[in-house]
Amino acid sequence: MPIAMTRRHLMLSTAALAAGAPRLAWSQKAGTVTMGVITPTTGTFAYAGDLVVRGANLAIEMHGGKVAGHEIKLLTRDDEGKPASGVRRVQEAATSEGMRYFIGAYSSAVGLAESEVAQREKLLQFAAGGSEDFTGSRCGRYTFQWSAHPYTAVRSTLEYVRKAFPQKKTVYTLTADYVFGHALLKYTKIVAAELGFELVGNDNHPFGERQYTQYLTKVVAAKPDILLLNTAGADAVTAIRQFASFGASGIAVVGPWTLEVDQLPELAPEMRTGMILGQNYYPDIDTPANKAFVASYSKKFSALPGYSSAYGYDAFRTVLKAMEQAKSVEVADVVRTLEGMSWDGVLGRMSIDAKTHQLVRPYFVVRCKSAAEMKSPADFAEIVALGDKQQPADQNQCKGMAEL
Amino acid sequence: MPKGGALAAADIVRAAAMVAAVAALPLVIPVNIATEVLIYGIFAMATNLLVGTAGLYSFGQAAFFGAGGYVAGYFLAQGFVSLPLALLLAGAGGGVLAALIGALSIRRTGIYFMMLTFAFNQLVFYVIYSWQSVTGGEDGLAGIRRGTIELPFLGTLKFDDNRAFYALAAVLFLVSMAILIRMTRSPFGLVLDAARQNARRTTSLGYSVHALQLAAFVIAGVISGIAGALFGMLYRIMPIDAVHWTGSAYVVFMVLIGGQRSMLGPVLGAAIFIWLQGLFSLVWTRWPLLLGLFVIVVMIYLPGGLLDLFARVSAWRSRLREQRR
Repeated sequence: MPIAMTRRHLMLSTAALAAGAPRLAWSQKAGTVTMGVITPTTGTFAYAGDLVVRGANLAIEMHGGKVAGHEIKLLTRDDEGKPASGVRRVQEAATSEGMRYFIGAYSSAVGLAESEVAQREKLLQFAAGGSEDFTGSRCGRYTFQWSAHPYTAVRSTLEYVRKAFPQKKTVYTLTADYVFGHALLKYTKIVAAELGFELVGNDNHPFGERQYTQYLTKVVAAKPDILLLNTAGADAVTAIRQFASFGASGIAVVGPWTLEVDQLPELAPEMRTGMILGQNYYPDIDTPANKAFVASYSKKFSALPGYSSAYGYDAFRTVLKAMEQAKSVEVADVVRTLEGMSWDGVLGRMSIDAKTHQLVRPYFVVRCKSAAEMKSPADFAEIVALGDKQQPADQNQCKGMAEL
Repeated sequence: MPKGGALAAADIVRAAAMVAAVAALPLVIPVNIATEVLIYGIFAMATNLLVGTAGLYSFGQAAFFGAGGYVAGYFLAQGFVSLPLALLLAGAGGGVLAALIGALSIRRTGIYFMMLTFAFNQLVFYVIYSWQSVTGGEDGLAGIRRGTIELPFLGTLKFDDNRAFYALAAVLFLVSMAILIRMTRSPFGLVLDAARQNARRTTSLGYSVHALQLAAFVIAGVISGIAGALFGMLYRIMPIDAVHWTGSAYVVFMVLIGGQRSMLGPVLGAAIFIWLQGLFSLVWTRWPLLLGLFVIVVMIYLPGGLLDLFARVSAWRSRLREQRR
């Protein structure tokens, strides 16, 4: 088997290889800052990708398209929800397009993989997602975490339950059998001890489970006061639907990080009624920044923003704010500014924990409304509590930040 | 097999052209993407030993790529730095796994072989997925360092610079290519080729076809494992999707797009596949449709892969030149 049929043949192939290659590196012009949204637009989380881009675009638009005297160039790339594709896109955008700032991974696995590139190439990453490793064992100087810490989520939610329903003491947990679910369970145990709940049972279910009756039968038999759902997304929707048919109205359904506002329409109002949910974002948040965001967003897209859009918007808004404050678009300056910054953001008063790069921010607890209480089809719930208790420092695994 | 001075000279010219092309690649595309093209090139060439030469359509090659990546990655993440040892372990990891899986599936042919390799790939995926304390599970294995080579008199070779790492990948790429070409031209490769065309007849001629196919399977596993180790070191992370069965399907696509009849085909396929994905994803958010369309067009009109296109174009041009005369 020859390497190629003829010499000309080989040269043609080589020429094709060279001609087909993308443009030369470094097209970053002076006076421009390139920011990227690397997000899934194909695959399981494709719906979220477009929403993050909407939010990011709106942040740039409302900032006037310029920052600290520089034009803002926005890049969007598809990470396909896969870590290997995510790192390739980030690397390519950084070397060929001069991208220095990026947000967008919807899956923690993708975000954590991209974080390795961010540290190497000195790119500022504003991540989101349920993994505590972003600010824990895999923390990095160039990576910031927008979503609340799982501890904050569990603590805020259960703290509200403790206050609102002092007679409810026993908790049965249903946990997704992967990293995210296990992290929530770990903090449930810690918080339950802090607040005086009794954990009477736990069941792990595999990712993508469609049949929950075997777990729910056990739950009903154990007669707990609370069913705590340490699971998320489509799995949680299915579990709640099936639990509704058990008619166990004495058991309160609580989810610390279970359904974001984007997913609430998937449940009928009678299935949601009375459910207590923790939220990273809710459109009713009463801050001037959020009101401005919701007004522009609904004007432009005729819909209310959800978690994904709010993340895109607030993460970019924060970075732009830091650039203005630093009067620079150099990554090192912006990282330093962010580490000491405290500001009024979309979610409320916010700051960055310089030791872990966790965004210190309120977490929202909502109670879902019944059909009769709803003023509009998108009026799912009311905010009943805010919590911002941070993970205790002795539990954090971040071994310190590198030099810039 | 080429014999005699003239043909040997042609071989040297080809080898020189290949070295020049590999040297020029990072000048036209970002160096890390060029490295990735070479890594997938190694992986695709190893797969082509099975697909193109032996006619074994394995849909489980990502298991060996991943095994090599995780074994070397774990070793380097634990603080060891010897690159030769890391590559050796990666090759051994890929090879041992290939020997196990191959021994159980090589006697099945056609669709059964495909399904078995596919199933074993998924098995390996879920082992890595659930063995979180070692592999990092869903979040991938992080903290991988690029190993170093200790040379007597010359000191320590380091690969933290991306261009140095490209040079390392280029050397391994060219060595793998030379070995694989030599192998396909050897009696071993000729028997594999014969068995692809008619396995029964080859057996009746006295060759132990299954043993030779198993040997090819193991060799492909070793080389894929080394490619996996390079991939882990490239971005300093071994992501879980590198072991997913879609990785196995993609590498077979690379071979088919480029062309199975030579070792240059899979490399071309890898380059185009990686580049096209990036290009299409910029053009349209529903880009996998375009990629699928491209694969279908190549399958229908260029069954011999893109190399076939170049062969046709040059044949057409020489015909045109003769007509002019």
